[in-house]
Amino acid sequence: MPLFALVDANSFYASCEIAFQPALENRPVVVLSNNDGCIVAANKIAKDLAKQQNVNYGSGGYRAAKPTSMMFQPYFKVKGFLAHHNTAVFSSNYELYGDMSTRMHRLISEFGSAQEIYSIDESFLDVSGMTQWDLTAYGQQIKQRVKQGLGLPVAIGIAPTKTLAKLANHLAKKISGYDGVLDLSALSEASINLLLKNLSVGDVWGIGKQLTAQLEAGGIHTALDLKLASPTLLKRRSSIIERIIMELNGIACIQLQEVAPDKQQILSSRSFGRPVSDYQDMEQAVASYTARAAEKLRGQHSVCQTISVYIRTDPFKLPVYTNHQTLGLVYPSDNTSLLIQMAKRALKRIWQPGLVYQKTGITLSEISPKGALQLDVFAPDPKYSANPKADNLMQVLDEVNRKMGKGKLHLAAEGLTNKKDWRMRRDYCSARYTTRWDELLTVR
Amino acid sequence: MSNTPKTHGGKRPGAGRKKGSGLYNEPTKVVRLPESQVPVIKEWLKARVKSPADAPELPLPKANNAQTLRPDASSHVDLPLFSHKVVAGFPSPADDNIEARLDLNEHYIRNPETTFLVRVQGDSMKKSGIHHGDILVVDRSINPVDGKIVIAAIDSELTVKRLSVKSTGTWLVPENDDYTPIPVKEESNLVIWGVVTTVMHSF
Repeated sequence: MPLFALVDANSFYASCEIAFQPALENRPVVVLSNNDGCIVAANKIAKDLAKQQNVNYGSGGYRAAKPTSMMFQPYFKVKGFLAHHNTAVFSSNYELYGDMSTRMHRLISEFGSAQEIYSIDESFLDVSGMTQWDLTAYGQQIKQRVKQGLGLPVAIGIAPTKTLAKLANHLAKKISGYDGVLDLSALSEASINLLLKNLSVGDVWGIGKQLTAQLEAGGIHTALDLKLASPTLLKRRSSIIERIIMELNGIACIQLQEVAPDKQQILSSRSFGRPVSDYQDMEQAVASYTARAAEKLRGQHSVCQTISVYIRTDPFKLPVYTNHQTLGLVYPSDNTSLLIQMAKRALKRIWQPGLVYQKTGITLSEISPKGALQLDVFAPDPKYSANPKADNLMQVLDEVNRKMGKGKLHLAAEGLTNKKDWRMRRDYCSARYTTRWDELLTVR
Repeated sequence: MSNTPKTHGGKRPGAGRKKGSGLYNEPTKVVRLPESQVPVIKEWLKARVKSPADAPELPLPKANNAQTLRPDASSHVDLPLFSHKVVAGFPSPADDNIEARLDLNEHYIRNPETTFLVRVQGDSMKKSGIHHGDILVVDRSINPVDGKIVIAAIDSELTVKRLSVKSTGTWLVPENDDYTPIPVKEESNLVIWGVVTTVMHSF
């Protein structure tokens, strides 16, 4: 029988901050999104605080925001409340979270015969064939190892399918009696059903907002309802729903994906720290995001054939302007110089002077593995594709940035680092304890 | 609309010249050419029709010549790479004994996932060779037992001290006579953050 364990860190970003400042353990801690916009992580103390106070946040913030929860609310709305309760507030420290994530996934990998890294803070493990073990005790061991080794709290859900393992993980976090570990394979069918009855259908992995509404309209409200539903009874029979129902019934349909599939589209977009109205600033931002995307593209050994640039003004301030421009490349390429050239050309076509822009993004698509290049006799010389000289330059660029830190070596088009006014605002960022020599944790 | 097959107008299957039946014995395609090069291409094609094998090299203008001579990148051949230079004369007696170089990480970091580097501030551990500005290698997965040098969080500050667990109580002991040992009381919230395995000191 296949058996999966889902290991998921509790409030990962907040926990990373606490791991390096143990004194925060007993204080509310929140982490803000890009540009310090919304709350994206909060430790349990912070979450409970908001619950006790019975605050209604109203609408706004991210789409995922709920009026009853502090999560995903705009920071300005909760700033006063948080300060009043002595909350530690952090900007997203991606360097730190990224490194801690890698460490955590590696540490966890010892505990299964195979691993799927599902997200920055979640891993599925294959624990099939361990049925003679006490898997709850095994789960506690994983939890203990991550807590001691990295200072991060995790919860573990174990079940015969990935969908059930997800639910088990959710319950292990929610119900304190489980102490962070729930093994559904050790429970009777009746007990599992009882647990599923108390979960809403929207809690099931793969059931989004829209499907939830559809299912609820069809009288399916709980995870148990869905488990017992006949796929043929649903109005619009879909294979996705069928698969989820099978998984809820303990029949594994979704396999472990050990190697993440290459991205078919690479997106690099961000709101500006400060609004941009100067063409040169915008050009630098576009160049900078293009360089990041090209780096990612080379990281997965791919080339792209289309680049698209998108700009927009603040949607809440008139006049609103949003536009995008897509350009195709003659030869597929992964070269930063070429892609920046194209991005600038695209920007020139959609730029409207006199407006105040809030966001830009670039998308690389028509991605294919980098390999042999089919030459076209009638096209211009492919200076930037399958050209060993250009490739070497890119390799050196990536190597230097890997060793010396992101963005150390970059094209002039991206602008000088200290002049980038439009860059992400990270006013409350902690030190990059694990990736910079000059930002190491200090001890007395 | 009736379903009877059309007899008038529109495209009829099988009509027209057969593909590949032309001058070249293969399907053809319309292309755009620079006007000046039309006679050149025409000449070349004519020669090719007469005897395809002996057709002369396409004499495109100079600037484009490089393009046609570019090696075909669609296949590749692996060549063995020899790591040693061929030396005329005596072979180096050391050749047979070449090993990988020493890697400091390998020696000092047993558990890379759980190992962190921290910087020392102050001289409370001077006598054990830990000085201001040194970098400590800290492994969080090692059990903190009596006698280990540890990083401890006590009263919201991280500190490096020697851990002393005795029947009389637990202490965080500095190794500098100017400092006094810190007793760990029942009520104080002590967290052992990690165990120091190595000190890196530069002169």
